[in-house]
Amino acid sequence: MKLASVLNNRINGNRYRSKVMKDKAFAVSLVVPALIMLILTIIIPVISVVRMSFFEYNLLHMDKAPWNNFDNYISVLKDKEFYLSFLRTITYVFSTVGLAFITGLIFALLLNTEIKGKNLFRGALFLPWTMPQVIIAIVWMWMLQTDYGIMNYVLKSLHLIQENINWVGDPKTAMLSVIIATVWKQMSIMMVIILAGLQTVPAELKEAALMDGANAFQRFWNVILPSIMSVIKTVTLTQIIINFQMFGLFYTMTGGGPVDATSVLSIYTHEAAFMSFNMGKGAAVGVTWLLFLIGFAALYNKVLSRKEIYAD
Amino acid sequence: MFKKSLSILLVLVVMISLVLVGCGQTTEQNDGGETDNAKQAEDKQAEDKQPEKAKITMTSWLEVEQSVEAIFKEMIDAFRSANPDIEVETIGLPFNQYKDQLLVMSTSGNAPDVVMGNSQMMVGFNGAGILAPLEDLISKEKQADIFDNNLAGGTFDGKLVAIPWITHPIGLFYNKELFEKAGLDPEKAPETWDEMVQAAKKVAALKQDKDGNRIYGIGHSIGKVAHAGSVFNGIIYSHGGHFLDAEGKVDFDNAGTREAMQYIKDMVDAGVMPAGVNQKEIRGLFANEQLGIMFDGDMGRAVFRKLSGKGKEFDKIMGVALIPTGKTGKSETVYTEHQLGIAKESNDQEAAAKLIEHLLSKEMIVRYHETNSVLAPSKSIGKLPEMNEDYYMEVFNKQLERARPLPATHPMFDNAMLEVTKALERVSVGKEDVDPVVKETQQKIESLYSK
Amino acid sequence: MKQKNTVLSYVLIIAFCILFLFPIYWMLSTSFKTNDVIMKLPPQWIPRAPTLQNYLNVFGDNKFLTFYKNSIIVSLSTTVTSLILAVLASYSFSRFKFFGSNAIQMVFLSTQMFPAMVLLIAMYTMYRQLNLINTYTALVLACTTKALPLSVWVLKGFYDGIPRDLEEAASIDGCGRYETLFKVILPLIKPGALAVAIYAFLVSWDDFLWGLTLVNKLEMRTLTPGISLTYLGEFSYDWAKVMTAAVGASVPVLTAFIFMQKYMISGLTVGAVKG
Repeated sequence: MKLASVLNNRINGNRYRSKVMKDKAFAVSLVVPALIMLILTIIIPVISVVRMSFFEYNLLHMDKAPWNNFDNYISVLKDKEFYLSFLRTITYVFSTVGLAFITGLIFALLLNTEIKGKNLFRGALFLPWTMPQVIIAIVWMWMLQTDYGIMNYVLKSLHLIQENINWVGDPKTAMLSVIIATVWKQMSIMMVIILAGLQTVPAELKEAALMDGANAFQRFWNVILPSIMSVIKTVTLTQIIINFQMFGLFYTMTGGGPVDATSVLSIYTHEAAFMSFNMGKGAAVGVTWLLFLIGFAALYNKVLSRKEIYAD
Repeated sequence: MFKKSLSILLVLVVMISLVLVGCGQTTEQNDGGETDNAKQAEDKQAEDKQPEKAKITMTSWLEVEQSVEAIFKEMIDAFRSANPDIEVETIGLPFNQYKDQLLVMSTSGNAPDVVMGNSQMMVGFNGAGILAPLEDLISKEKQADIFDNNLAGGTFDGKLVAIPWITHPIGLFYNKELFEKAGLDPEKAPETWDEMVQAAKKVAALKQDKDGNRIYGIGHSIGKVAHAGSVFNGIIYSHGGHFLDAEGKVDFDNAGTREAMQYIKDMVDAGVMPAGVNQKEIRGLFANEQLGIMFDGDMGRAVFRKLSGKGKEFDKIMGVALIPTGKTGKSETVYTEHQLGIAKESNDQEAAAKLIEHLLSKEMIVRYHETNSVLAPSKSIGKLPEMNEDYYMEVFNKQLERARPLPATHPMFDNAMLEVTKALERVSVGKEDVDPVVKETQQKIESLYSK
Repeated sequence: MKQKNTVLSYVLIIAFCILFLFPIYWMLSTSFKTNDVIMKLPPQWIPRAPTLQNYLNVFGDNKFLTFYKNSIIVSLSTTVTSLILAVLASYSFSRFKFFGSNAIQMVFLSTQMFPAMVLLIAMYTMYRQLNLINTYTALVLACTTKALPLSVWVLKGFYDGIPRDLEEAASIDGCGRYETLFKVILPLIKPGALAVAIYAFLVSWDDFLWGLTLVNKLEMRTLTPGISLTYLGEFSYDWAKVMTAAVGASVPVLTAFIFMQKYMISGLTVGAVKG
């Protein structure tokens, strides 16, 4: 094809150039609606907030907001609590996405077989995703309640624990509680998207591998996984980005406590911006967080692309 | 098949864009009014006749909250019919997000005219420059009728910006049945702090009820939210301590505070008190008859009736009393408060003041009291027989006289109280020693206040 | 061997499902209990005296139905808007390289990397200037903004998995570009498109922050802020009613999902690759 187009180009340069132009025009026309919409609704506000991060923007004295020589950034980067929140966020994000991915993948593989009642199972497993976060938080808070929660009751009846665990109220288990609630909710979307990916794996590939005598694991590792790698890459990265933002579950379940055990970046930002009225500092945290995620996304993309096979 | 779904999609798009266009128009027409079409037409006519009809908005979390929804609507409707020339729009915001949302609205130039809030919020709103001075807007008689203590709680830098509406002094609740089971006199509430601690220990010694539900002796809100830190001030006062010194400076690191912290730590360590819980959870335990003693405001009774599912039956096992006397030799406690203020940016401060006076009026408070047993910090209303109809209300009115306001003097008060909550968590669930925790908390609050 | 595997799959799936769905069962079971039994141990696994009172209370209230209606309007509009925009944009990103296309992709994605908390004031101010506070349009725009970037990203992953020869073949067959996209390529990524549609729907169904901020009239409120406003108040949590509202909020969506499932399962890809 390429050779043909090169030849074509030699023969008729003008026509080729106009085809390229048309390609570009087509490509751009597809992106423009989405781009305009995002510029209007979020890119402009983000820019204004980035700008805000360089000024002393405090709700306690809104009348003046002078340039403050990177003071917001300095106070963020000097704050020990910022790094701790950052570490907690990383722990939270990677454990939730990791666990949700593994369980989601297992379910998707199980459901991609020839079993009966597949739709029923899939529907049932999708239920948690349809529940709003606020409610997920409440349901889990209540299941994990120390004294009348069902979780402690079951664990105690099974003699797995002696004393009731104060799940949400103990610094040792609070993060775990939020992770459980998150994975419970997010496993479903992982499963659905991976399943959709599995269904686009060409059957011939699987058949060919079967004929070559590959066992189940080899088929999965060498054929299926590479084919769905681009889907996996995107869905995990999106979940990483989403969970970086997670505020609702933390705010409702633990409020960042006890003793800051679950004070992740979003809680830290909320405290800076709304409890301390320091919007400038909040914005500076936001910008730092943005830079980190952009760097991370680029790296992640690069590393995972190696396992990917391209159709061409 | 795909074509079919595509066409369904297209139809949907068209429908939705129509809906959107339609909505866009309605909102343009009645920006700030009702969506109801008939009402709109009426409003329009009214506007034609009376072009200067005042419009005010009020934010609160009462609008659809189950327990207050009906009475709040009744009070606002009463105002509407008494003042046909003023149009009132109420905006309900959830309690947990109230402060953030109000800050967002106000800093974006869309402040409501009348702002409701509690003392912790109002001091912050005042710091953010949202509230207008009320001295000249609210009548002098109304101001003079409010207890001095309460009025002072809404006054910052000599300016009254938040007027107390209803107040929640914190008193003592105990479970008579559990007292009896523990060998205590169910009709006699503990009068001193030591008696209370002993009683709590006896109740906790019951360990569990017949079904295996754990029983605690006493519960305080000591976790998760800034509210826990705020009400802890009452316990500090009982131990002879304080949050602010005589000059109004933060003085958290004092003997009384340390003793109060030690009390919490000891009770948690002994398994007498549940750790890491907030007031909502404590209420659950009490309503569930798993808790011997707790501190709560006058709203307690209504909450327990609902939570226990027993309604008024629950009153029989519930005892109320003044907070036991501690180090100072008298019953010490704090009150939390619902306050009202007017936004600086309000276009019609007079109409806003009218609404506030209406909500403060004797008729409205008595009616509010009938439905929700609220207390008013008012010299003339508080003494009315309608407000003291039973023993329960008498106790709380008496407690109110002995209650101190929260030391909410600085816009960062809420933040400081969150630090106090963290300190409580550190000594209780974190098992840390009291002294260094109190010291560090003092430093943290000082640095918060210095900004 | 094969049979053993199938049996194992069943056992695994059923065991997982039971564990996994227990919280939902518990929620349902609670919604049929009265307040005085839900906090008691030992728990009643099956409500001994089931009551419909919670349902009557929650649904007998016009408010809840209004919240519901608003959520459906907003979520459906968001789904359609983001799906259309995403299908187009992600195709372009997957197939064409033009000046700045990588940068634009990154910008798209990075809009989601900023804490929404800090954006509140800027967003509110902007929607206010556009006179869109208290409109569905504002909510749909805000939710689309939230769902779109990741939808584009996910769909691009699906397009990337489709061989390029298909377009070349189609172009040789004389198909125009739009025709190729809609008639040849789009059917192949249908499972992806549906997954993204569901994603977009649920993003706005779950939305709390924008529904709370951009709209403040009771009759315009959506479900999550509505539930928060009504049942998660200042003084206490009303477990039974919250659970009832939760059941109400999730069951219809689930039914819709089960209905849509059949469109997601397909051997369409296989056929198309052959052609």
